[in-house]
Amino acid sequence: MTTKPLDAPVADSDVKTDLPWQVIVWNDPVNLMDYVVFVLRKLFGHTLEEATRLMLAVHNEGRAAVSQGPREQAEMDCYRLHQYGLWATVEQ
Amino acid sequence: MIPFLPTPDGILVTLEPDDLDLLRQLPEFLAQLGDPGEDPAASRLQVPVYLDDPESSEEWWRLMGGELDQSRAADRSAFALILEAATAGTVASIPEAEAFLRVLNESRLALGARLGVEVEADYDELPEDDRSALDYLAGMQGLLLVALSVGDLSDLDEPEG
Repeated sequence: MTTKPLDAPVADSDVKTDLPWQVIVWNDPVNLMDYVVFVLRKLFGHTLEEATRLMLAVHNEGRAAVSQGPREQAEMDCYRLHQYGLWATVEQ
Repeated sequence: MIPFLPTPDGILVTLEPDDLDLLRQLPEFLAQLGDPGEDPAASRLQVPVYLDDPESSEEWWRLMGGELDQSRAADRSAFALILEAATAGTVASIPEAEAFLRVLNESRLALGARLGVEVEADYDELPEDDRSALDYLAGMQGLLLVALSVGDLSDLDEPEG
């Protein structure tokens, strides 16, 4: 164990810094339910049950968080969802 | 004739002349969308990625938009190549069939946006011709989804009992 003094805490103006970034999929009136399930399984490796649960959350509640992590990963997940035409956004 | 059949090597795509006539229009339709803001179809395919942060959204589209355009263009090319061979029947690899699926979906999104479908109730209000165009594409997409999902059956959980 080091005897080196701890660094002074760095003032953090943004309390949200440590929160993970979330990828949200939004309900839209055109995408098919089966297609959304297919895409969520394909991109995130969800089981049929989990992908269906997420799809129904999108459908019934209007939105659902489908992945979370560092900002770069969230932005890349968002890109992959846009490739499949899902309405995806990033938020913290 | 079943348009999409799973095979060990991919998806066997066989299309009737009437289907080909319709589907051939899609790549050009998608390639010629207008600018977001002017064309609802283009806006739907370029939605803000950060809802409460326009600057981050613009940055995301600046960094990723070109790559996404290229990816969509590659999907359209794969789609067109499959159509060229689909009269006699052609086996599309799984990645090619997925590109085909994305083009069908993108076409429905673009068409739906052009027709003003913003909430589910709008769909029911559409003139019959417009609704049947969306339904036709949804039917094709559904059949391809079924064919693509057959390979998944093996990894479904065993029923408990």
